[in-house]
Amino acid sequence: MDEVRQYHENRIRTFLRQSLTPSSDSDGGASTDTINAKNVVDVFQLPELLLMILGYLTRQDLLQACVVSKRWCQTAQPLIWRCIEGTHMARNGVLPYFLMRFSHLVKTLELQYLSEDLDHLMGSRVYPRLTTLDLQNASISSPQLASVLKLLPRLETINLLHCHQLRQHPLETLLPYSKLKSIGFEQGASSPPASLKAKDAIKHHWPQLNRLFINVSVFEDYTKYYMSGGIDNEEGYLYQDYGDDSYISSSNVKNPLLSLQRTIRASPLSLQSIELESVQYWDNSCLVDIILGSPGLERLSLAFCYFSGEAFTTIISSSPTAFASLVDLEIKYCTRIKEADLVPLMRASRLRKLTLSAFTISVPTFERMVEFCPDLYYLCLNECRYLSTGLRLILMNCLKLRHLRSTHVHYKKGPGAMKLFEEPLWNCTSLEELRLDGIPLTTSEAKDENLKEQSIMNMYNQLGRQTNLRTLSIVNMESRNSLQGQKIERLEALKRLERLGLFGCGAWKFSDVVFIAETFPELRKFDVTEKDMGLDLS
Amino acid sequence: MPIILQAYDDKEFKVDKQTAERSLVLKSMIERAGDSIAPIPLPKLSSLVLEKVIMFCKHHKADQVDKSKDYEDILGPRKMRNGLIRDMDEWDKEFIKVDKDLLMDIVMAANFLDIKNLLDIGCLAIAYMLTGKTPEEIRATFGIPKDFAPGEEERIEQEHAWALRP
Repeated sequence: MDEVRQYHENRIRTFLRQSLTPSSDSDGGASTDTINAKNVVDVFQLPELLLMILGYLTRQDLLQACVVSKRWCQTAQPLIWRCIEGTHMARNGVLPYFLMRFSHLVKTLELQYLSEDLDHLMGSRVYPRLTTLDLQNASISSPQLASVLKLLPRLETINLLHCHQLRQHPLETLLPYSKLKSIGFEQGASSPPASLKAKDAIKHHWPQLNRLFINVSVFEDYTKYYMSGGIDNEEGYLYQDYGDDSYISSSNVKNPLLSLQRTIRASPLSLQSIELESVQYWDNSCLVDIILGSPGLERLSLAFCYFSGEAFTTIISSSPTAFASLVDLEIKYCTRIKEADLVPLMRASRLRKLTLSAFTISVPTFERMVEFCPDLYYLCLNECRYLSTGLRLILMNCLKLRHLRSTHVHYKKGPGAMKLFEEPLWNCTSLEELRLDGIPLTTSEAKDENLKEQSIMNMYNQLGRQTNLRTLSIVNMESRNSLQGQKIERLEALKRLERLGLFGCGAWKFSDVVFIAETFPELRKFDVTEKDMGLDLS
Repeated sequence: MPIILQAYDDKEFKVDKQTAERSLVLKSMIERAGDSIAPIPLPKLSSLVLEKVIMFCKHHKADQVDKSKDYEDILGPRKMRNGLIRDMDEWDKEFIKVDKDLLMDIVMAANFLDIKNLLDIGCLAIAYMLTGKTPEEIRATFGIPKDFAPGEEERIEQEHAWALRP
């Protein structure tokens, strides 16, 4: 900061000195035009300003900027090549040649679903600035990966999730790359290298590692079982359904998954972010060890895992501050983690981003959420059961909430279902994204047509105040009844809307569509179903 | 105690300390000089530009620095580029709706006085002027000479043709 100030002070001093010479004063007023014209050139001549300006452009516009002049080309080229996505590869066979030519400019290479030959694509030139390589779902073999890694001296982030063709364990292939900070991989049939089982081996090989994402592909079929059972199954059914355990059992020490568990537990990892997907048959104590070994943990994501909620209690009782830096929590389809397990976790952390799937959330839990997570700005409840009074609590109390997503709401029957939009008005007015998919706005109990209309009116009253909204998507489950027209004019103040979808909230009239087209300048997507389109399109 | 700023046509502007301190350059000058600060000459700035700059600083004088920082920490950087124009405040949007020459002067002034927010929205506004324009249009609008060697332009276009495909 001092350097910046120093720099500017020197600059202003130079400027003052120059301007105090008599010659610059004399003809100042007469030639405003020339001064302006000069400034035009000045702005684009200062490299840092030109870079800043071009940095705001999209790739399409950067390509135009590239052919304006030499200086512009020099500035725009690194911006164009900074991040290359795989979609560009698939469409153009010429790219590999240019990729090699500009390899010195590429920082991020995203090659998801790559089916071409990786060696051929990347050539044999070194990529001196490349820090991020994303190969999720790519068809690559271990030797290919190994030879490409040699070209990437600065690699920090690598994503190898769903790369099913890797015969060698990904951690083994990555062993020589000690600068890695983030590794995502899939535990397949191969075991991690024996050398990693030693104490502190992971930290020794990757001292800067702070993010780990592990997926266990062996259990891909698992989701099938899960789905067939629904979300209401009794605890433990996963074990029962997966009766065919002969392949994996805790007594089998050669099991690669358990071998990985041993590797991971060998020493504290000090991670900032842990993501575990489809990890089963690991002991609860393993999760405890991982988290206790990462005191600065900021993000925790567990999806389709078989850890039980007791792990959290154990962690908190042995180290009350274990979750002190946790801001981002994701628990999806972990049937052994229950609603009651969330409360101590919320109390021990300072959550700002929360994603929950397949939970039943009662109003008292929402009350705790409001109490312990007042700074929440992102809340996503997928396939959860809850009363809308609970969600209402969030909208009344979490004033910083910007993103609220909820899909497939399974609500409990009762008067609570319509409460979300009822008066008084929500205290939170900072929403940028609101997606409520499957929320019943008009319950089947409400026989009275007036009541249904009233609840739709309430909805528009609440939404009309959310002037920061960019994405608004509401799907009313109970839309068979014939509601009167939309009240879209009540959303007039939502000038930032980019995406709008209101399903089952009434039929759209031609005048509504015209209104939408004229009112929302940023709108890019208007989702509508035929059913909701009124017949009167004249 | 008000700070006096002098434009190059000697017109003087009185501003309060908080307003002036939106400029990191002025801020450090004020800190050095203490209470006995003399009028500050800004001979590179016309009164028109200075007036605009002061207007901006006045409006934003109570802003907290880096208010969106921790938000980005978690969600990852906001979608940069075109998305940013939408992020702009209504007031800022109106403020920066000026003709091209004045816009350039404002950006130069913001850079010179080190007013980060103003520099950001100014550069964004210039970037916005560039969107959808052909290279010829850009050169004509901003008076930029074309300095490519024969054939060079075609070569550059060819190198990046891949990216043009949707």
